[in-house]
Amino acid sequence: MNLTRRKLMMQGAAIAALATGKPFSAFAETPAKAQEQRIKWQNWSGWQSSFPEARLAPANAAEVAEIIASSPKPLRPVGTGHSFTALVPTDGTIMSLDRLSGVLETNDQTLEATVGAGTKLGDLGAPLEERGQALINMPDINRQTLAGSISTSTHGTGEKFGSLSSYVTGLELVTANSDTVWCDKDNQPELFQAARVSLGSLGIITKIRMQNRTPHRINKRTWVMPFDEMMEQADTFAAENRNFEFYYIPFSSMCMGISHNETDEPLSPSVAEDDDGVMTLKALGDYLGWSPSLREYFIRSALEDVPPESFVDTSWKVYPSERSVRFNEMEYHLPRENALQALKEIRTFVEAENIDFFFPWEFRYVKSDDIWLSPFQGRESCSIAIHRFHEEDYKPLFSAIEPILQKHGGRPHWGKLHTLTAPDFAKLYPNWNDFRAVRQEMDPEGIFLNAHLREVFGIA
Amino acid sequence: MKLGMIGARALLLSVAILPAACGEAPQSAEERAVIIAAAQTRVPADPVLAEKYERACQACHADPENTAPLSGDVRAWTPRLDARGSEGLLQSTLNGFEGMPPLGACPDCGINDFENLIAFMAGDTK
Repeated sequence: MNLTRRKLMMQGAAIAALATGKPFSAFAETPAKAQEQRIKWQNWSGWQSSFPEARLAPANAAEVAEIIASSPKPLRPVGTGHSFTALVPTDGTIMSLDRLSGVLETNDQTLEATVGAGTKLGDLGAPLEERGQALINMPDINRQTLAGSISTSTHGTGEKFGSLSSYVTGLELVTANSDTVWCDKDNQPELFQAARVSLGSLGIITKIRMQNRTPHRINKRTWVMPFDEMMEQADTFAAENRNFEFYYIPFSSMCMGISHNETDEPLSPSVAEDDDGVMTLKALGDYLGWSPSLREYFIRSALEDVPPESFVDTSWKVYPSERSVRFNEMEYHLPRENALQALKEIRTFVEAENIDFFFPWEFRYVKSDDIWLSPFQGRESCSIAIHRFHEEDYKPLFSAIEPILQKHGGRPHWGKLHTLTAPDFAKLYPNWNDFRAVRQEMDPEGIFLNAHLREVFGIA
Repeated sequence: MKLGMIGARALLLSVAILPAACGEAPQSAEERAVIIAAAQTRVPADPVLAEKYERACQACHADPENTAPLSGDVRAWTPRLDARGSEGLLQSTLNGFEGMPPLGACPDCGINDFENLIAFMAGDTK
């Protein structure tokens, strides 16, 4: 049996939505295909949208510069629309990085690679491997572009591994003046320090140089265990495995652990799940609408039938998972010493209130870094991610849980839903004003600022 | 097995969510191999459309592991067209559908591009 945890989580949620009579795949409303000759842009979840005057996809930095000089403002770059926050919506210009793609240059000595900013993470593995390189760590979705990922400090898991931004050793961006600028630790170091996590607010990133490593195989293992035992052992698992994360399945008292470890074992790729796995998924969803005690009984019974599994493949094939069920997400990064306690409090709150809620919660470990706007700056962190089916209003649930995450010192993921504004960020980020000064210098007229970013940075 | 008592209703639900091959006649391994091989090589004749197809559509619609209908697999596309029409498929592209993001991963495509790309993947050879 091969029941991947993502498929379990996502298909389970899909079944649950059906079981309770809620809409699953059809949109509640079908927007017009054009409004005043404009086509609606939406993010992946469909929650954020706008009708931009222009949607453009430049093929090189010169075309980027031309667009910056001449196209309607505000101008916002877009990767694959995987941010849940309103980083992209604009009535001006949405600039896709789609055509700024591919591995452009590699250095065999330093194991660095310069990559087009619009390269999707999923399109990086094979060409890097051909050149004797691999990303040091990866998130569990590979549909995002590299620029979108680093601009929001997107991360994987592993207490020894920082976010993707922490492996950037240089980048090229086209500025508000249409100048093309390269920055790294030796060239314009202050700009480099700001640009590695910059929400697309300093210019259009066109190339990114990444510190990589040699290709490697990963043994991925998944297993199910009770919540209380996971609370006791999670930090040990994090220390003993290259990568470790776990999910808590609401109303089940059960967790699913996932570890990744480097290995020389022969390849044993994951195969499609069999009927046993499908039956487990069916059962998981079929009873989610019942009372808390029945929920726990049935879900726990289903999960107890999921045996541990493992497989071996090259790293870039192991880390990502498919996301066939869309959702909205809130994720906060907490000081590591507070995170497990925060998770316990969220569980107590949600289950005591019997909040209607299906998606598992994800708990990951991330190493600290020194990047100004990195949520991991200056502290070892754990991330708690809460998902909500994309057709359901996320606000009541997220607004109930967010205070718990904030109470424990959480900083929100820049691409995931939150309610913080500039005064909050000023308290959370020691170099907040340093970043704002660089942003003001790079884009004094605010051509890269949409309404969301003006709120984030406190600019009228 | 513990799940046996809830299997019947669960089976009904699984039929509702599993996208594969509902209403389609069985396909031999040989037929499937031919369709996959074709999907992995065919591109629109128009070079501008081909560039957008290769950039936005091919990754999923030429991947047999993906649940999206394969490019050129007329038997997979016909029931979808019969059920929803070309306008329905266009709306799915604009809004996103299951694993496909809004605008079908082509943020710079226009309506004509989407209509032509859908027609091409549904079997049009132009």
